[in-house]
Amino acid sequence: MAVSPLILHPAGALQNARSVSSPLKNAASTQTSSNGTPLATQVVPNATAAVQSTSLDLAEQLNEDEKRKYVKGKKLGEGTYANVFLGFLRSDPSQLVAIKKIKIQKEYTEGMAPDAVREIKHLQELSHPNIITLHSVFSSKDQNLNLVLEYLPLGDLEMLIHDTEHIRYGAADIKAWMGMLTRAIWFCHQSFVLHRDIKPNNLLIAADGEVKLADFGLARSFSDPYRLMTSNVITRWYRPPELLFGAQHYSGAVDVWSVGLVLAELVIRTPYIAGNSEIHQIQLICQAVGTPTEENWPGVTKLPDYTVDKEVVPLRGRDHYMALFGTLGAEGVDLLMKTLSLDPKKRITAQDMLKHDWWHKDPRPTRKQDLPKKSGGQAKVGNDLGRRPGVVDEEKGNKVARKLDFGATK
Amino acid sequence: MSRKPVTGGSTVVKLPTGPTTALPSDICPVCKRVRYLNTDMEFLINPECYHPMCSNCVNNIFKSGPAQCPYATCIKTLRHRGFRSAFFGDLAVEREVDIRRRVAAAYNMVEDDFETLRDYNNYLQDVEDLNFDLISGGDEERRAAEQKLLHREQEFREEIERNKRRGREAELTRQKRDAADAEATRQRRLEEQREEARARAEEGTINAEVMEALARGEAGSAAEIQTRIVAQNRARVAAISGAHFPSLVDTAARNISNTLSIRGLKTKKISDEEEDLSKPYDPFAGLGPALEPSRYKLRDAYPNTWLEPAKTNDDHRVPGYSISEYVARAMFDAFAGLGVNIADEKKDVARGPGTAMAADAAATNRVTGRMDVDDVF
Repeated sequence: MAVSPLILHPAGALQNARSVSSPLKNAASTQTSSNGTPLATQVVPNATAAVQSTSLDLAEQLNEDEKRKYVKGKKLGEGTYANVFLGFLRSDPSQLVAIKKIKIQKEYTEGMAPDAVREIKHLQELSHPNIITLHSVFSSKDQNLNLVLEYLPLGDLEMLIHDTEHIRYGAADIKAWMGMLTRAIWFCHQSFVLHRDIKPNNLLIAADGEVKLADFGLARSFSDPYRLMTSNVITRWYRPPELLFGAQHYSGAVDVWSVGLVLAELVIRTPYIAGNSEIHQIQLICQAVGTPTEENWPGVTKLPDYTVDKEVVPLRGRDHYMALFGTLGAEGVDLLMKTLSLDPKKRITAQDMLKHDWWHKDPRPTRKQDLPKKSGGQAKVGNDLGRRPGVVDEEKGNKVARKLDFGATK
Repeated sequence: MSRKPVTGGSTVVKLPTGPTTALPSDICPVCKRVRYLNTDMEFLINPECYHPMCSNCVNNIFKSGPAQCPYATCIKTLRHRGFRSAFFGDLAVEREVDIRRRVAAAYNMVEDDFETLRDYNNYLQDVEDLNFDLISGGDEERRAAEQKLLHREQEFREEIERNKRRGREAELTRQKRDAADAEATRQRRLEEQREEARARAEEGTINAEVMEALARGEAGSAAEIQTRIVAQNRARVAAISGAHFPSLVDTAARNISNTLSIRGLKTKKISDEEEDLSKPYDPFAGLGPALEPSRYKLRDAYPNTWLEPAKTNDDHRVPGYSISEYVARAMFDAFAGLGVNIADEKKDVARGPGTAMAADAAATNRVTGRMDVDDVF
């Protein structure tokens, strides 16, 4: 909030724009009044803007300016709620960006889709190496919202986890990835944001191997007391028991549970608790972790949707986890058990996760540039992007007399 | 050394071991068999004394076990196993290469192992002296050099092994880089060719346009029309190459700056790696203290009657709603904005457009200016 160099305009007004009928145009124009700050003093429209068109009002002109900074390229993918295009900076075509164009949704014709609002609201505030960067926001001609995001060419963690044929990785790599994920979550929580949709799918990989948390479409800031939050968040397989039981007041512990399941999935390379329905998910949690009861989670039976099988599975002990996740070592298993604690009050916090001993035990986390990458074309592209054309880098040995290498012929 | 033809019988440098340096081609010096009668004759040498003889002799003399070299003055005991065909026609060269190979295997340090270039060059000089002593020194010198070499081979075996491994790795990376460079060069050449073909096609249309314009009978003389159209098209060609292949524009200037910057990166990367591995792993990646509140101290509990029900009510307590999270946020909000100087920020904005700065920061993976202010975000 203190400094928000990312977006100088419309975004601030976007949040309250849902009630307005024509979303971006009006949102942008209401800004002058709602903020009480004349925009002209904030950003001086440059010469090109002045020349551009006199028929646009100031907000439209600023939007036009922002839009003109980027060139939209080919389509990278299509989701239910947005299309993603590759783009680049007009001033520097080597700087690639991903442009996420939010589709107009039937249910939200009155305003903007809440996911887009959430994404913009939180991404513009979070600036961390392990969280995707939102460069800019602008609206295009049909008042479609466009989010200019960092371009992350190397796919996501899910691709790596499930490509058991071609990708091999070890405990050091898992530790490195977990370190980056945990830092991202810690930073979110430290900034009072709940992500509420952590899964390997949403962990994108940058060209240098850095893992970046993306998709803040379900994020929200920490709730005030007595203020309800929906329990219908987080992809089912990664949803913690308190949400499955319909709790409406929860904390950052919900994200930590998901982080724990990502860790488990990294080891066994298949989703650890993958239920077909919410009931099934609860059953599977009971089997994998233990049945939540009054003993291990005081008061759990009073939660609105508390339903478990009659058969009570006792809490799984360390041996059970060691058998499945032994590659993590004793400390790693300890950390995993603490993240998969049924009672959210006893669950470890993201900050304490980072203080855990596991990070300092062998093996040392792999350096990010040495992490396994998706083989083939994409990695190639990443390398090529990293290299500049027309350069032959010379060995520094030029100043020494060249020595015949007799050893090489052996 | 010897520049004589291989068939010449005389030696230029008298070797201490005293073999004729040229490999015989027709007559075996031992059994005097001639190639004319044995077309598949092959001459072998033993690195003990480098005396050549035909494979027949080798089989006859050494098959049944070690024996003395059949050369009259030579007292070396040779084994069948040690014989091989010479790579060089000149046996003096063969011997020198063998010696150098052995020395190079023992003294396999690289420039990076030395503090200064001067040290490295001194080392190379010493090694070369040793080589010379072994190859063409007198008996005394040779023996001393041999001693040194043996000592080195035995005492520093581990170090030698380590250097060897490192050398292999370096060689591998070098090969990889060479391949990548070759590929890049190929791509660049293709691009240039494409571009050239395009530009040429564009040029080709110029004449046609001139003729058309003349046929239409435009104003001005024929020469004027021609110059005008040619100029127009030239501009277009330049625009094409400029817009689509910026790498082709001003190639020379670009090359210089690129080379320099790549060099800088390279050395930086190496030092980064060393630095990365020397420091203990920081799970917070350096941000730990930066996010601690600095203007206030967060207490464990704040008396507040409004908060009491949230602490005790089951709907808050059981699913883990955290009062401390709420309190931390409330405190943060209360202090947010203090210590932020708007004038400073305005200066920042004036310096460059916000988005470009953010993109820049993202590219360099640097956390934006927000981190400098102690109340983060």
